[in-house]
Amino acid sequence: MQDESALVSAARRGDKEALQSLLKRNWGWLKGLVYGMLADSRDLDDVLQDVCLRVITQIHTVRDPERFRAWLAIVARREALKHLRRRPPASLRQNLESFPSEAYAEDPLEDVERRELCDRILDAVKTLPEKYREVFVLAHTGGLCYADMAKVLDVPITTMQIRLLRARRMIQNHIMGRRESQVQEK
Amino acid sequence: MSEIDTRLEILIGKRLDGEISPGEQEILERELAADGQARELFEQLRQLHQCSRDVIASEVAAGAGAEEIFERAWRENAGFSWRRVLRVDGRLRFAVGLAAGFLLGLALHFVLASGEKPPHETTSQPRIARKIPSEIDRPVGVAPTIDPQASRQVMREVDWYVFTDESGDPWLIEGLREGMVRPASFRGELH
Repeated sequence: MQDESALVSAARRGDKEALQSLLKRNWGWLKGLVYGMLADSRDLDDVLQDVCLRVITQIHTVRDPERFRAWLAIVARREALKHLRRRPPASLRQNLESFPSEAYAEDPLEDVERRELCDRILDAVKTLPEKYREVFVLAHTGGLCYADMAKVLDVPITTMQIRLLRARRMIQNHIMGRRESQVQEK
Repeated sequence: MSEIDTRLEILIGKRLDGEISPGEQEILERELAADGQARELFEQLRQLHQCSRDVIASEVAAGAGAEEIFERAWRENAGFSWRRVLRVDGRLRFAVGLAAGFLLGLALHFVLASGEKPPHETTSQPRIARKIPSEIDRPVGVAPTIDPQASRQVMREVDWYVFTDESGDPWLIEGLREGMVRPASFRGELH
């Protein structure tokens, strides 16, 4: 974290390398957060580019280098929201169709049941309310501990844990609901 | 869902996310060993966690890398670097705005002032007046140019002349008493 503060200070002075390092360090969760907001990966790169641009132009406004991650999360949320307002809403079907299923079908031994489960999970993630979706995606993008996730989301750690628990329950209920309805159909 | 289930779910979640402390790990192990339903829940959540990681990783992994996107943004920003040159703080911006407003007002004042013709300029005769030939036929009468009902204070009398041009068209010429002549109007109906 001390390194990150030093990088923030250098970036504020206009050091391009420092700025790039900062973004690279935080890229995983940043991408996850934006994905959590957009609920699909259609315009992920465009929004991330806007976030980078905002960081480049506004880094001098970061007063406390220790709070860089919280600041970056706010910037990312704002850009994602701006993008969501601009773009036409996509149906869930479109979102699911845009999902590259080949990405996890490379392993020939992977069974159909697991693929179906993954599809159902993705379906459930996309239908989660935003605050639950972002915490769930952050937790599964990797790279952040609970304390850092709470900082990024700007909520107490207990709130973050409860949200994650509820998100898991909602997804589980969604999957179980699907399974039950499939059994009934059979 | 009972409070015990919630606590168990939190412990399982912490275990899956790698956030569990040794003490909590011990408690969880005991619960799992003693309760079959707890083991089933653990298995469900473990499978959910694993699939979620894979699914989200494949979703998020799509697209360009951090370096490429950063470079694009850097280039885009360089294109607009002139904006940074013009970046001024609030007070300076206010002062600049005030000065610009003052200059604009001053310019507007001079433009409007130059638009008003002084009285002596109105005596300059229009082009048609210089071309009035000597064969103006005759004065046809004196008529007020302004309706006396409309304005009681201002009344000016004019003389009217009829003039026939080379092609035989009749023209009605308005000649002001003060020596001013307005552009003539063609009156086809005059014979």
